[in-house]
Amino acid sequence: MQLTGLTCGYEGRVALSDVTLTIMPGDFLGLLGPSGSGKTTLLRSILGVVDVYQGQVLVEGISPEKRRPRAGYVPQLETIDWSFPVTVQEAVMMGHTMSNPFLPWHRRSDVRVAAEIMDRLGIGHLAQRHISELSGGQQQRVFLARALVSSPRLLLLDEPTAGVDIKTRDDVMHLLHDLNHQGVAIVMTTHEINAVAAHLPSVVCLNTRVLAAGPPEEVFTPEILKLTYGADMPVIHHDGLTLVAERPHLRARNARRGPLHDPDTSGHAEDHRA
Amino acid sequence: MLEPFQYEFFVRGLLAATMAGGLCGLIGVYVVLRRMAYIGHGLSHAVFGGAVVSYVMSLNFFVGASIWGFLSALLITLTTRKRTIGADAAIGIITTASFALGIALISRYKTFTRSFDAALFGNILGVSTGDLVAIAFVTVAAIIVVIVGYKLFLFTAFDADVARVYGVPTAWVEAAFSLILAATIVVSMQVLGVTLIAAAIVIPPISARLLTDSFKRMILLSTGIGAFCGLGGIYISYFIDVSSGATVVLFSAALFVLALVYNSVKGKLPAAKARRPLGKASGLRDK
Repeated sequence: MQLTGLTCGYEGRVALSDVTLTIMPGDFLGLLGPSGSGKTTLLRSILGVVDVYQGQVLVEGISPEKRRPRAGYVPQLETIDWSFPVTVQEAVMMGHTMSNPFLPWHRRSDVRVAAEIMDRLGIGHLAQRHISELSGGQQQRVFLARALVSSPRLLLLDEPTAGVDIKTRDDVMHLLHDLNHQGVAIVMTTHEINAVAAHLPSVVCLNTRVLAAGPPEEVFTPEILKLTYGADMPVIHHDGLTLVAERPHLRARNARRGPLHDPDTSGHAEDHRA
Repeated sequence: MLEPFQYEFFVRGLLAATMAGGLCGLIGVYVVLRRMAYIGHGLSHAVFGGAVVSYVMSLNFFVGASIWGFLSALLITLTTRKRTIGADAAIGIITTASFALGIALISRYKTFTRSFDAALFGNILGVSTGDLVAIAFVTVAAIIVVIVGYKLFLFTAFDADVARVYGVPTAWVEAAFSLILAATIVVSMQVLGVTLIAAAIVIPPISARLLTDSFKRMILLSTGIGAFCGLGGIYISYFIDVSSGATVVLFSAALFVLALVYNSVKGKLPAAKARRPLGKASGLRDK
């Protein structure tokens, strides 16, 4: 998948400028950036549902506007209408809508595939439950299952770990790593730098344009993070881990008090690399 | 008990109200789930303007009013895409202007003012065989559209934005829905009246929602409740001598209260449960 000099947005308003990015089969990529930086727009550009003003997107050599790519999309959980009367099975089967759009029932083979995927994700026994009756991890799996029923080669997830507890977040990330090992390319947005992005093979820092792309240990530098988030964010390397100290407010307050109150007087990244 | 059935006008009205009630209940599911109750209310007023214009221009009432309603629905959709204008404001402007046009034409040509009393408040006596055929035609068409487009309507109603990402032609689905909604309002006008149609579109699906968590069951229940309310409302209106539209809506409201009581007694409030804070809904609890 190739994005070349892509400038896109909605109704004439540019959300992303001059993005050039290549995603290969089997890649696992995290998109980072503040709210409004264009993360979701980048996902949607791959699906061909944003207005392209310049440049192009090619998925397997073809524009997604001409042929919908074999991609599964998982939206943010907070956009879901939990009062909508659908059971888990009905929600998952929505992923098969376009395989046979003008019949009110689903093909047996489609139902079988959905049942297999729900079992694989551990939600098979919840098929007849209403979607609001599930835990956060189970809810995330429902929409992951919906994305997977069409056997996509590319999975696009919008903040799959937002608002969930630590255990659920780890479960979701393990599941995504498993899918990635099975050959599914994954692109996900996240706000969690240390808990999620630092553990991905590669990340992209965005703020209406691509600021840096590569492995987290190369991309996470105070300079790039300052460009991305507009705040001082020291980076700590410890025992093979890359950690970003997210404390811009503390630093700003200490800066007003004077240098004696600032525990890190250097203002730069500390290096505790072993 | 069977006395009213000896009158042809009553049987005709009863059939019309039962079909119109079922039709409004069926279409109302999508209206309610897409949180478009205000569009149903607004469109019924817009269609009134279309009906008067059709009359003045000597056009076929059903065709003229349906086209007017459909165009109003499309205009509302287009206007709301302009992010500077809210959906409620767009509906307020377009539908009220259309309604006002109808009133203006009526006051200009006072000769036919009385003919539109039924359109405003519903009148069982005014149901002609032509009205009955029109209601039957739209009911059958709506059932076919809902069956054929079941999956497309379901996904679009659940999340139109994501449905589009999955390849669902949401613009066509919305246009088809607007057309059916406009036609539903036009053919139900004689029985229910434009001022009361919105209630007939909203109350049955809301009652059905209180009784089930499944989309499929909600459609069947809402259609059934709507048809039952049409039938029961007209039957009662004969004995208490109150306008048909008002009786149907009051009967629906009574059934809604019963559904609410049943739901509360069972301690099962799906809608209320689902509207809990996001943190609880999406991850801060584990089962």
